[in-house]
Amino acid sequence: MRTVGSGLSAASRGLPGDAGAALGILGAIGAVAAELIDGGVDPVAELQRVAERAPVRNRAASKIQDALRARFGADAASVYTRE
Amino acid sequence: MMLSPWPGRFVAASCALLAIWMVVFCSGCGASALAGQRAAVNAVALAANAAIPLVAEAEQREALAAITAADDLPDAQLRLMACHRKWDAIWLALDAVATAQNAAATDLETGRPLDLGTLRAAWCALQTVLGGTDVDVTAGVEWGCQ
Repeated sequence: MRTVGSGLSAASRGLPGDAGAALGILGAIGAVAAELIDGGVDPVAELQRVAERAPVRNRAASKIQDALRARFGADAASVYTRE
Repeated sequence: MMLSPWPGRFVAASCALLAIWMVVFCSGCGASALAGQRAAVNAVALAANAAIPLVAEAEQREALAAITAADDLPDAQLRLMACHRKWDAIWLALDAVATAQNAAATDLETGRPLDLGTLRAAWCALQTVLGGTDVDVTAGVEWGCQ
């Protein structure tokens, strides 16, 4: 006659043990897979950023103001304000 | 009464096969997706950085042409204002790209979930405003903008 006790006894020697081991192996392989998935990509490595554009545009604005002065006189640069 | 060990072995074998399948077919998927995102975010920064002097030069060229073409100072002022308005829109679009790119790069660096939609929209908006100029900054960025 099959009893709860004999079932547990069988379970401890049979399926749960193997299944537990298999799940353990699966977990370990999963951990390795996770390493492989993330491998080669360093999440903290710095990426390029877009540089400040103000210095470049300021230099262009200065040349435009110089051209205004050259064409219309010393005070002419005031008609061109940037930003 | 003992249960047959075979069901357990079957489960174990199935799990092992599943795990092997996961490693063989899935490893690299995440890595290549992440690497692709990093490449796209970097490419936008490089393209935008290349664009900044080109945009400044083009704006300067138009402004100098406006000064040359002007009859007098008020005329020059009007022409420069039109020039300024046009290029301001482009600089603002570049600023939006810079902001979105910085956010995307920070997300990637800190491992936060990344949605490239904002960066792509900003990039395409920049392409739209640059459409009326001879400045082409698409090199290296593989996003098509309709």
